[in-house]
Amino acid sequence: MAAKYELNDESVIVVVGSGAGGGTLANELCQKGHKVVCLEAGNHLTWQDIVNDEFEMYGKLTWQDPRTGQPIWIVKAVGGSTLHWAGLSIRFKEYELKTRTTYGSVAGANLLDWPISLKELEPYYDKAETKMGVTGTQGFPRQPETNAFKVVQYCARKAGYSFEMGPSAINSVARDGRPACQMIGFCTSGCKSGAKWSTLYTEIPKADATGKFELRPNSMALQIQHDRQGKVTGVLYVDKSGTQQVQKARIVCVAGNSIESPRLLLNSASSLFKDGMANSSGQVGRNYMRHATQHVYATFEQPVNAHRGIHAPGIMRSEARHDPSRGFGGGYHLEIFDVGLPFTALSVVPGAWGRKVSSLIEQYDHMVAVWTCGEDLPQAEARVTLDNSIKDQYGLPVPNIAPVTDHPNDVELLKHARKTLETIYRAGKAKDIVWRAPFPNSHNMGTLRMSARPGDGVCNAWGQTHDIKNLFISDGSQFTSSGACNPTLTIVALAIRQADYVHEQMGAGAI
Amino acid sequence: MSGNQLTRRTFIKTAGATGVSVYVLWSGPGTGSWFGPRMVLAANLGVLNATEGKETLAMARQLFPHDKLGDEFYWVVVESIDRDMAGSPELASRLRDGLAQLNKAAGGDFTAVTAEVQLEAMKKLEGTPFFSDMLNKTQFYFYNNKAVWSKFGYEGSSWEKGGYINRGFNDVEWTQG
Ligand SMILES: Cc1cc2nc3c(=O)[nH]c(=O)nc-3n(C[C@H](O)[C@H](O)[C@H](O)COP(=O)(O)OP(=O)(O)OC[C@H]3O[C@@H](n4cnc5c(N)ncnc54)[C@H](O)[C@@H]3O)c2cc1C
Ligand code: SF4
Repeated sequence: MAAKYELNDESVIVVVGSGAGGGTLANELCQKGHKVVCLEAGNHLTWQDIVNDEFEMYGKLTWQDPRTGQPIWIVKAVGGSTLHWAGLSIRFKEYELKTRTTYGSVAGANLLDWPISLKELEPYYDKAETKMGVTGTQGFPRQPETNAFKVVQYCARKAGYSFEMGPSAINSVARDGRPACQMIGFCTSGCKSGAKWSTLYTEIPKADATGKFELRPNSMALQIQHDRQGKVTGVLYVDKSGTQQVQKARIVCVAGNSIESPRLLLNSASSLFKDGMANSSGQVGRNYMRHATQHVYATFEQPVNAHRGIHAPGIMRSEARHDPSRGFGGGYHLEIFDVGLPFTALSVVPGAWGRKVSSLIEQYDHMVAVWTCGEDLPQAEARVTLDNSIKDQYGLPVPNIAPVTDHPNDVELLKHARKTLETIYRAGKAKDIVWRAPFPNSHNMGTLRMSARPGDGVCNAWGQTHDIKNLFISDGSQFTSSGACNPTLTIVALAIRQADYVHEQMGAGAI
Repeated sequence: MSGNQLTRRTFIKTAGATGVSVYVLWSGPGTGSWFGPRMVLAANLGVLNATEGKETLAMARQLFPHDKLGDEFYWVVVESIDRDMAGSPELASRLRDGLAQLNKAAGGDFTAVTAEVQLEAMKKLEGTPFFSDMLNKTQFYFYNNKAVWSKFGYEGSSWEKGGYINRGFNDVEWTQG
């Protein structure tokens, strides 16, 4: 049963955003008996709303409020980007949490170690994998091999490499009230079977069942408010009828994804916090990371039919290591990633036309694609700021994502990954090999990063802001480095860990 | 605000294609009507005249040529562009002017010259707002047509058939060697 809280109830915890970070945190807090109000800007979609049509779902799911700078791909709906996500779930390695120590000082990169070790994270990774049913971990079987996987693995084997199925947060067996994957093949358009983990139909109904949870969809947080001592006191938001409201709060947790979260703190500037909330370090919005990515397609004489089944069936791990002899720091995963014909046709060679493009699209069912997920080094100037020249429908300045160029390390890494993939494809006798620039940024990280020292970042090892004790960062914005790992598993692990900490601190009367 | 009410900006825009500005898709009524193959020789046009319709069709064919597909698949594009023009006088005048320029670049009548001359004429206009509009709209309307999908082996919606778990998600056999 859903709870209903008064606007002036000062004892509630307000969570902004219901995606990977916010949805998980809200549920974990409710399970511990805390009262949670979740403000979510987007709609609450139902099963009927999910259709197998890429552009229709893109229209229903994608965050399309105005923004300037780099193109971004995130969701505005209950469940957040866990509706679009492909489910790949990979743990950070120890060196990826200690980039400053491992890579040393790299010119142009604002490297910093996480204030957490892998050892501290491991029990939370275990919990996250268990919660999400990550295949190939915690005893969950892997999925059966799909067409796209078989073809890529065939090529890789001939070249002396190897891919594995998963690890994916997609049920391989019926569990947790959800079925096993039906190989529907629309993972990035919302999974109709519910086999893919999404907070929309896992964390959120579970939170609801505690009777402690109130979800307010179509409610956009505009500003976090504070008292004279600088403690946060509530959140100003626009409710579903378009009316401004203030929800009072004991604690506020921000999980709006790494663009909207820093934007909210910047939009919460006041006479006390002139440069934005929790920004004494000047790091709010900085060190934006989005992985070094590219997509390489290959076509074959024989049919592939990659659209049948999981969009991202498997990965190659062997280049995800720190080996400076390759000419760059950090590493990359190669991840099979195929989408439907509508997305493929519009993105395979952006901006190009003529027979070269159309003959490629004619080979759609003879094609596979592999995506690079490489470590992106943080740069201080890669940042989210407010663009005061444009206001959104709520009258707020829109976020600008500075169009910085790739760090030279990213460039070298991508070259290496492209060569590896070309070797793999050639070994499998691919006909055409087509490279394309990245998709819009779907992995967004780092704009409110964790740091041991308050001067280096925005929050501590639990996501608690250095400046304000009852303000937490609860999404991918906390990341101090990007690793070569798709971010969601780590976001979920951190949310579970944060819930433990908040519970403990509340119990001790510290917040 | 509901997701359905949001303007559906193109994926091309977010996909970061060069120089594409925001425009609205599927803004017209009856969006379902242009799905499905139809044998039409001339489209129902509101803004473009019959000659301009044929020019748009010829250009669409050169933008994304698929010899095995008949004109009916390209008329879908022409009708959709025409509908967009009906909703935006500014777009209408830009595209009509562009078509006039295209004819000029082709020596008078774009539809009457050889494919080579057509391509030459189009290359002269590449990079203009007219050309970008035609490119993006043709690409979207052509490839987002369900009737086209099956021609390239894409099977569309699958959940109502139980996905591919029993229908060939792993039927590739040539990878065993
Ligand atoms: C196509 C695609 C494929 C992906 N595949 C993978 C994958 O295979 N593996 C992986 O690990 N990751 C993947 N990702 C990335 C993954 O989806 C995100 O990293 C993750 O969901 C981010 O979690 P989050 O909590 O930071 O934000 P989100 O999940 O995006 O949630 C943020 C929520 O906050 C809401 N919100 C924002 N601002 C406000 C506000 N001011 N007021 C109220 N609500 C607000 C938003 O509407 C949204 O619902 C993919 C993403 C995309 C787009
Ligand atoms: S392939 Fe599996 S995870 Fe993907 S949409 Fe289908 S059932 Fe869901």
